[in-house]
Amino acid sequence: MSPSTSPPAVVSNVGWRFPPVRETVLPNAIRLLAYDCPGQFVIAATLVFEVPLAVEPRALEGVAGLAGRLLTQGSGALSAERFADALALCGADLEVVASVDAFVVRLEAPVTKLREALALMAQCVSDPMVAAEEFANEQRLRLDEIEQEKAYPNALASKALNRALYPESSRRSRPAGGTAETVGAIRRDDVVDYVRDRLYPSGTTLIMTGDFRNTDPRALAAEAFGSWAGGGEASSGLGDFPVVSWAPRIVLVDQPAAPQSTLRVAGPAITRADPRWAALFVANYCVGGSFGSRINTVLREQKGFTYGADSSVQTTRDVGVFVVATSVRSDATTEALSDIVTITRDVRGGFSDEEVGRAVTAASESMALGFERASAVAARVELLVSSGLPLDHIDTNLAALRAVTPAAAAEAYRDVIDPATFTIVVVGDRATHADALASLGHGPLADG
Amino acid sequence: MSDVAYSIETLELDNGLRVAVSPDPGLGVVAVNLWYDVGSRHERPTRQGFAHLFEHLMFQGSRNVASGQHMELLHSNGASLNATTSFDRTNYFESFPSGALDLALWLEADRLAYLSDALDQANLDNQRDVVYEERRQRMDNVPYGTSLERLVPLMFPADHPYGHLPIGNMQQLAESSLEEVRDFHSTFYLPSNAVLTIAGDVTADEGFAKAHHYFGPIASGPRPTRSLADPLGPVVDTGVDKISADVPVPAAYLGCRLPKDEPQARELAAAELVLGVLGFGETSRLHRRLVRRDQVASSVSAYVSRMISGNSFGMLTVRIDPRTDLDEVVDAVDEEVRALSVDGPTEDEVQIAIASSEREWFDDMATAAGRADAISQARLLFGDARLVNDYLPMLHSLTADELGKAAADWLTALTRAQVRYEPTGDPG
Repeated sequence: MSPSTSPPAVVSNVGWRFPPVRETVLPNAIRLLAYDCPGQFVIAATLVFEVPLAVEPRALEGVAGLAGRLLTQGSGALSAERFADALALCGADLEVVASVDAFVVRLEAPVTKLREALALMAQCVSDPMVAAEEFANEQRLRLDEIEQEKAYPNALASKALNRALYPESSRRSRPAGGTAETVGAIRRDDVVDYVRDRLYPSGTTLIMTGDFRNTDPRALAAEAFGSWAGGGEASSGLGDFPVVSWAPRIVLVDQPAAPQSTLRVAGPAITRADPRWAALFVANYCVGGSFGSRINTVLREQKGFTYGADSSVQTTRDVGVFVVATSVRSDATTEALSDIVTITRDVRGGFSDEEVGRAVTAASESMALGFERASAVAARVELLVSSGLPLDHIDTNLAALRAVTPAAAAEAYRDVIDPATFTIVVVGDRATHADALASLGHGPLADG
Repeated sequence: MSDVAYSIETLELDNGLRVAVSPDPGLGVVAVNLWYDVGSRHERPTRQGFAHLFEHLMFQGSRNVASGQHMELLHSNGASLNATTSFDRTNYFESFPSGALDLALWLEADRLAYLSDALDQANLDNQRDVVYEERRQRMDNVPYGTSLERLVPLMFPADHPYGHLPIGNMQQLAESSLEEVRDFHSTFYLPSNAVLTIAGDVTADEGFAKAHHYFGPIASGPRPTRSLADPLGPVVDTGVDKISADVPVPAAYLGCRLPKDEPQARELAAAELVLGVLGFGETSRLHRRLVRRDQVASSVSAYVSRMISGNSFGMLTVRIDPRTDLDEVVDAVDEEVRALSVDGPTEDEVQIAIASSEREWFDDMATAAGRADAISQARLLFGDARLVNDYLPMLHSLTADELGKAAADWLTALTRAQVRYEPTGDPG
């Protein structure tokens, strides 16, 4: 029998669920969340300290990031180099990130070396040296990075967007890793204080994911972290709840002779805790959240302005933002922006049944694939913990996704997204674009 | 964990399509992966970049699939998919919940058999524009974005298969025609010139039956003869390409030829590991010397491109402090390479390099897509899918002497191919 000339039917995978959690509390009040991911031999272990970036003193912004860098530069009896050797001999990798909602330490290690790698992870959070010469070198490297970021259009666009979207009073309006001025002002003692005051076991969450058929994650965690004691003043609740800008405007960051313009078009949205989240997620999928979305279809597949254009709803614990992002051929800058504003406005008129049906199937059926890796499971649980969401959020959200109707998607979009108030950021050649952008009719034009 | 072995079964259809199945029943997801034996090394000298442009057109519809429908049908059933073009091959891949296996195979078969039915000038013009923007986004509008494009001609002669990058020459692409797209399809996109791997939630019998059903009826021609370049030794004369560009800090990109992959995979792995000892990660010699001790660099990194036509190549990148002389940094690289080639790495360095490569391997193999890709590579490029199971034992048996020899044989030429960036404008 020859293959048919029409696509074969697809059998749905409705049985998928997020792996179940084994939740326990260690004697030092660390909450352990373990997830079995059979066949995943690289284990992910993530410590989430619910310390928002907003706890940083205004004049010392970047201290959390610098503390994160110093954790891996010597601890216990091991110098920075010996620590790096020990970690590398395990085939392990340790990454520390200070983000808006949490200070996070992520370990990945082969299951056969997990015991040794966890001991190193525990040592670096409980007993970092913060040696003076290491502090000086990490500060130098961070300042170098800040200088180098200025040459990357995407980094410039994100920075300008945050400055435009959030009020000056919000930590989010400024770079997460600090500025040259604030990082330059940090002293070694500031890092020591941050580590002492913010990083303690009580109330901290340890997420472990991977193939635990021959390994007991609780026993290994207790062995590695058991002797670490301490608590302190809770840092949660210190986050900021800024009002995201509702005033239409265009910010132009000059990149002389740029062959492309790097664009951001953004406005306020909602967080994952909002009851409209699933419906807005589906709406975003149709607008710009997929290859076949309206935005990518026009800008890439019809007009060839770009290699790709997408939109996303970026969430933290307290704030969600809708962002369209793309890079377009320089001479298509204003037309692309007009297209984006038009598409995002017209879509308020609603979605077709077919469009929403595809989005719902895509979002729900892709779950199994999205969580194939142990590190992907850990990353999602980290997001839930740092956003203050319940651990069953993935399953309840999946059920909610499957129930989204075209009417619900359109209603959520109309409620939340208002293109007339978008903030637009353009990183490109000012001399070429300034006049056309000023007459686009989308609010005042300012230099970024 | 070095005894981990993946289950792999293979057969060849009558039309020459080589099929591999790696069954993992109960996984819930399946990956389909096709490797075609055509990459930038097969391009005519006047059509550099054509294999990659062609790859874009494979998503623009075929006899029974409308333009854009390939992506849409797979995405809307929960799949992740893409394609990439490299020097040696072009691959097309999708992973999805197991219920979509028939759909994926049907779509892949339709564009292999009947792409030409749907080709039109509008699609060619549109995707050419998209490729121009891909190049601008990834290379022309990014600091150091053209470094590899500048380094490759210092490592390989202009007429060598690896003398240009897969992204190619935009002017030449502008001159290409729809007729050439058709010819390219009928020359290289034949069942006999491809490998199909199905990995994940499927049994071997099911996988073979479905492969036979969807791909068996496709007519093929004879497999194109594979011609490989002769292996070259290390570069002899030093070539330095100095660029003044809009970059934040000065940088040196250094390149060297390396042994080709199978049957020289062991020698290549030794070279890759010793390049790592030199410049990969915080434990590497150059990181310790230039970033930590002398504090003249902000980063050091190393990369290897494993290839089959005569040679592979390696690359080392150092970004330096604007107050530092690039000559000093290049001299330091030379010194460290010489030390490694005379004394070899320490036992700890060997173990660190092996542990790092092992974890990278497990990361790659952690998804059905990763396993399918590794299997397709082994089958298409080296003729034996089961070679994927030989990699870890080989890795663990490498010795300090072999790494030292690879440094002496190959890395000593590392500073003979240099691309140097200096920032334009005021240094600060």
